[in-house]
Amino acid sequence: MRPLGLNIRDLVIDYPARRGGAKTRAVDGVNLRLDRGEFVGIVGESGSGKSSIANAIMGLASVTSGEISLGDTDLTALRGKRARHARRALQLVMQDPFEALDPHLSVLRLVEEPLIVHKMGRSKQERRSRVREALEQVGLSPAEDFEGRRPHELSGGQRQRVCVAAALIVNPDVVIADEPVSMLDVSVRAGVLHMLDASRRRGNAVLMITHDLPTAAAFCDRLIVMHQGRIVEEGPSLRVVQDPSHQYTRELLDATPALGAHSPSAGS
Amino acid sequence: MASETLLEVRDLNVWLPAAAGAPRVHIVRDVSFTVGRGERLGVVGESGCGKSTTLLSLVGLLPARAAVSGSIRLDGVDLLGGASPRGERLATARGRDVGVVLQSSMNTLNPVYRVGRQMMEGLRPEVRTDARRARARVHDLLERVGLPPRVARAYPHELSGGMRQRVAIALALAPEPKLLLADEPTTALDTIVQARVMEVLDSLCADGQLSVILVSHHLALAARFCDRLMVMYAGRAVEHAGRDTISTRAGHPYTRLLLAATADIGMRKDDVVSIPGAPPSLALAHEGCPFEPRCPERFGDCADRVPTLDQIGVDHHVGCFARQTKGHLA
Repeated sequence: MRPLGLNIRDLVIDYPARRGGAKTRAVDGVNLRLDRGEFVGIVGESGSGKSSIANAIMGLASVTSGEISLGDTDLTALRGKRARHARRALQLVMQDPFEALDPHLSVLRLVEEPLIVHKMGRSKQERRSRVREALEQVGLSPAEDFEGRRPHELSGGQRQRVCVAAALIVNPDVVIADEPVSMLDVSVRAGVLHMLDASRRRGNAVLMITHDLPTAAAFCDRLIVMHQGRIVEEGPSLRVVQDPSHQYTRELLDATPALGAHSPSAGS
Repeated sequence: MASETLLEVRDLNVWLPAAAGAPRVHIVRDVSFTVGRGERLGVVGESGCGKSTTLLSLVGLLPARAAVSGSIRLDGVDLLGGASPRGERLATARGRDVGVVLQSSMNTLNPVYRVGRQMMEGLRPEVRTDARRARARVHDLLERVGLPPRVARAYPHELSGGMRQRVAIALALAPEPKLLLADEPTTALDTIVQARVMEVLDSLCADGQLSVILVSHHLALAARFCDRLMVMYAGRAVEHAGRDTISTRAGHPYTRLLLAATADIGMRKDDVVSIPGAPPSLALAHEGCPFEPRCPERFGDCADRVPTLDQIGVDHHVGCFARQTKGHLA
């Protein structure tokens, strides 16, 4: 049976002290619930702790206290092989598609690799057909035209689609996307986001981490605003951006360049 | 709009050498524009459309093998003057009359020297040689970008990204330039820090003496900061207009699609669209309008000829056959 959702309780993440200074509390008591099929955004500035949460979920940052569970499984308690197995259900799409992909490997190998790591797909043929299916799903179509290419033969948007295909191919329950489009041209951002949105038809949830409030508000069902390691506001996306209740959310909105509202100081 | 012209660029063309044996690549194609004193011009478009190359050619920061033609006049002085793209006049202008701020300030700043020392090197000679005046000037520059004097004693790695970018702006301002060129100055920063850096740039322009050319892929940011925008596509300028004209009555289909691709507060996901296809490779020869393959409004002429920029309204120029045939109705 597939786990129900991701549940984070009282999460605290401290980073060790540097040269006698005090330790840094990056995440300070965060509670977060992500149900199947939801598209949730965490927004906040650099240092607000949003990426630390993503890293903790992925097992890339050590948790000081608190619990991260997927369905009935407490991920923070797992070690070794069992942790790796459990984490198949959690896939990360990183900010920089130029660095995330091994430049030596073909698209076929890059997208096939997670299947091999997680021992999914019995034969080469089966894996290959799943790769094609995943490539078609992320809009790299026809897949035959793309599977032989290497990362440098793809545009930035296409590379990020390869990363998403490699995440989706193992049927994750949660896709965590950490600034998935901030390195991409505006012209292709919507395509990648619509694709992440459509991936939810498979039942997975998407957790997007970004400092781009308008984009998060447009695509996410729910927004979580973080400031200095804490959640300061959360709610349905449109409510958060149109009727923010926390002062910090208002600051974030004011700092966001909008086409409709020009700053008076720039003269008009 | 500022009346007095500070910078006038006419028919700028830039070619960069390709791999051995291949023909050189025509990166910037017949670009002309002016910047008035105290005016802010935004240059927007996708990556690879020639924005940064246009900007860097103004200060001779192109690779040595680049070929440049056209004229670049700053305060009436022709900076190219038929010389090489790294000619002396360009270099002098870069040091004194034109300041440059790039995207990654970590690469602009020398990691082994304190900020203050690096800033002193940029001061005009008469100020630099007088230690007390130089120090006062460094503190004054830091104050103008909203940083305390103690930053002068810091090494670049001790500063946050936003502080470093402000130091880079202070560094560019040290020789008191008339024109500041900013190439994606806030792209590496988050929204809050970006807003603070843009506020700093805004305050520097407040007295109307400093002109700015801002290169950005962020249309909303450029429209908020700049007086006028130039939209570039495949090495060409395809639209010039005031920022309000661009936001409300953009003429070129490319500009309209860029606007539709930019998420704005309150938009829903179905309102945010991507532009199908990709910009053409500048290394390949193509006839006709370079945007034609991606253009929802293309028709007969578009595949055969390149549209020239035509005036379709007050201070509004568009290079698009669809607008030109419809004329002022557009």
